[in-house]
Amino acid sequence: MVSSDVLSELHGLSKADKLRVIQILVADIAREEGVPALPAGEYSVWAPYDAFQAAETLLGALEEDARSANG
Amino acid sequence: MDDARQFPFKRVDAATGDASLLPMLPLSLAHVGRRVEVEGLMDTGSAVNVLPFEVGVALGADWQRQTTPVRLTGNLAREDARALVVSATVGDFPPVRLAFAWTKATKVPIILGQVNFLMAFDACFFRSRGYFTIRPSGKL
Repeated sequence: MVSSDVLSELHGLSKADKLRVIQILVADIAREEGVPALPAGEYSVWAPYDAFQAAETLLGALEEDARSANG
Repeated sequence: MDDARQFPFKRVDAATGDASLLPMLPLSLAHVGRRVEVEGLMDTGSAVNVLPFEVGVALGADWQRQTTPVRLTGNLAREDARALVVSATVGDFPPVRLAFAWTKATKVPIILGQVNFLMAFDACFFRSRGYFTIRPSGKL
């Protein structure tokens, strides 16, 4: 049973720290279950390859930019 | 591609030699009267262009005035991002308008992705020969 204090602390963490907690717990479970997991560490995959919503937003920003330039 | 310009792949890690060759493109960005010379990673796997926070600041962009939020994915989903449109010049090509996801993240390269760098420029990669070429697409 997770105490409300622990939950409260977890909710207060930054996004980066929350992700770190998730990584630690996943590594724990993988170790306990004997499932091979990636060793702990940072794996920076910056390319937002599936950020299509972001792409749509940027196309909208470009259209607005072009309208401003012409208007 | 007669009017294409050729750029070398760049070795970004001396320890790993040719394993670290990346298509880093030198370009000039301009916004509100400021100009910065930078290198961007040509990334066909990225849906968008990405601008690290410090480069936007160097260009004089004001985070508070960029009100269009951009939702990124992957590692970059951790940080807020906003749309920022700037002028970009590559070599002697005419300047183009590039829309970036300006992220609060700092430890990230400038990423030149599908929207809209690869709409503004056609690119060919010759990794085995250590160079890539680009030319304006004429579509923007």
